[in-house]
Amino acid sequence: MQADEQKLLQRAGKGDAQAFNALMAQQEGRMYAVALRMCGNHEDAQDCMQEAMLRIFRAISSFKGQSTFSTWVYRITMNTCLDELRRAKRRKATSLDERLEAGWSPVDTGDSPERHALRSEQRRAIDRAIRLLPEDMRSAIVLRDIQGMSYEEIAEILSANVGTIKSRISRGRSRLREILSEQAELFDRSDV
Amino acid sequence: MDCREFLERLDALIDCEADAADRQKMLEHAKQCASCSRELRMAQAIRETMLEMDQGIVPPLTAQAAWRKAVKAEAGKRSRRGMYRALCGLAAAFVVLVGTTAVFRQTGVLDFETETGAGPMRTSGTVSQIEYYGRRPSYDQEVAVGRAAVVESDGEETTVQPIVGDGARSVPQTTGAEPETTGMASSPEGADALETEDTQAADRERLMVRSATREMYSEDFDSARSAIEDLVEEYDASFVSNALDTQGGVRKAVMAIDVPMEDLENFLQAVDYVGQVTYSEVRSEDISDNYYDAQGRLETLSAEKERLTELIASADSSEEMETLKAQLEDVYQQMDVLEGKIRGFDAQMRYARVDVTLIEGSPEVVPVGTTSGEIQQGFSRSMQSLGDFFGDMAVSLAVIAPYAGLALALAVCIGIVVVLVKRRKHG
Repeated sequence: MQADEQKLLQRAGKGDAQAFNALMAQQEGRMYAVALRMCGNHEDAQDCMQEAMLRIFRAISSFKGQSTFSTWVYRITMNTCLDELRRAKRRKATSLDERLEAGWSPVDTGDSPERHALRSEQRRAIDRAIRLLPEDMRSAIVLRDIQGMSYEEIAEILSANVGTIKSRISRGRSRLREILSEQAELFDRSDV
Repeated sequence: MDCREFLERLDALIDCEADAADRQKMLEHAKQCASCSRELRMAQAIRETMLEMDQGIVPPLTAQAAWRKAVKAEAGKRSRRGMYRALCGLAAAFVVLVGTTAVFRQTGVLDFETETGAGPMRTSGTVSQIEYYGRRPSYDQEVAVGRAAVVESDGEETTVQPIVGDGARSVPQTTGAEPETTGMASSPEGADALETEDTQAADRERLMVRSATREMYSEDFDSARSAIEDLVEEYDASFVSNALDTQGGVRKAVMAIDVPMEDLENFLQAVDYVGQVTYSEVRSEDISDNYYDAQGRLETLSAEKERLTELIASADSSEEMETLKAQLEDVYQQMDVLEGKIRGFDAQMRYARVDVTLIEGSPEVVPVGTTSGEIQQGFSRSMQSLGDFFGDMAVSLAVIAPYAGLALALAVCIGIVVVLVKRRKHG
């Protein structure tokens, strides 16, 4: 951990809200992304992120540096999302239009309009498929295939061993392919 | 490679974890197998899409503002919580101190005995030395009862309500017979006070010294003062001091009177009629320990004196005789001191000290029986009682301070050990 981050951590541990805000500014984007994938809708993702922030603020003085700070933050975020999922009574599918209204804007990758449209369709299809996965597979897939984390990091965040994580990811991917095989034409395009 | 093997290793290929040989085999198989080729393309497309999915995701501004606001509120709660914890801690400590003070009051921990030395004594040329050894102090049943309550009067006639401590015991009074006039302690009769150890504990009664205070007002100051002087003569009491003072045109007489113990109650009753009593108090003090201690030491010295006398009689050399005589002289000196002390105690037990303050005029009359008067009196009493309690609280704090300090030191040591063990555990 860098010296500046360490100082912010110490101040935040003593209850300094401003220090905490500065510390978490770098984390909130990924936290929100994970929450959005796990919860499947914008409103629940906001609630999860807020709850996760509060939990982190309350527990920050007990962070001993046994893992990286971001790993610790991810763990709390994931646990909050899983708690929320267990409590949630309805899942709302969020369309791209709703996400745009909520402030999400897709990154301009320089693709052609056709490719851009294909990518959007693919993302929507994957989004729907992810929400159909069981929670344990979903969390592992989100952290590995969307957030790009290593197996070891994921194992630490989800408090499981690496073998279990690999198994979940493998089964999750297989399920995703099964679900998405109904729209195989979206993913088997060599002309775009 | 067959399709089953290909699908088993597909994840490793997607994650770039397959070794070069496996990768080659898998790609060759995909070229030949349309189904596996489709699986590979789909897996790659899904992976590529998923890696881009969350790029540039930024939480909405409302979400950002919401969690910051929530954290700020939580920070405020935390600082208030700390203050509340501190206040609760203080309140708990105060409650513990109040409870401790109440318990200490009940159990008498706050009753500190004062040392009594040989106070002013009434001397009489007819009292022989043997009298102090041959005559047991006389006291009545009331004295045998534990400490008397301090009763405060604000104008009404009050009587002392004794607190029965270890049970009232009646003690036989002396018959008033003439003191024995036999010789010094060498005669068995004269050594009545020199009891055997077996009976000593049983015979040791509580020895109490009593005193009283009166404050009174009188419009006819001279007559009242004269009446008190007559009472002193009537009860065979004596003035220790009799001072007259004038302040702001108001005369005040402050009198210290030694009254025979057996006449104390009658004397006080008589004095109370002289003027308007505004303050009344009777005290008892237990001097048993000091008295019997002095008596015991005197007995020891007496035995030592006998031993030295015998040794002097059988001394071989003049040097030895001189040494023994010096020791005997020292013993005589100590015995003189103790005898003086015991005489003082005896005088204190024979005579009660009564302090009377007589003030010219009338006290401020607080209407008793009216609501405002009762409110005023009730408030004054409560304030005084509260003041007494806070005083006792301060004493209780001093009493428990050493134990609290020890407990704190112990807690600090345990805390240090725990921290050290934890640090060692975490390396």
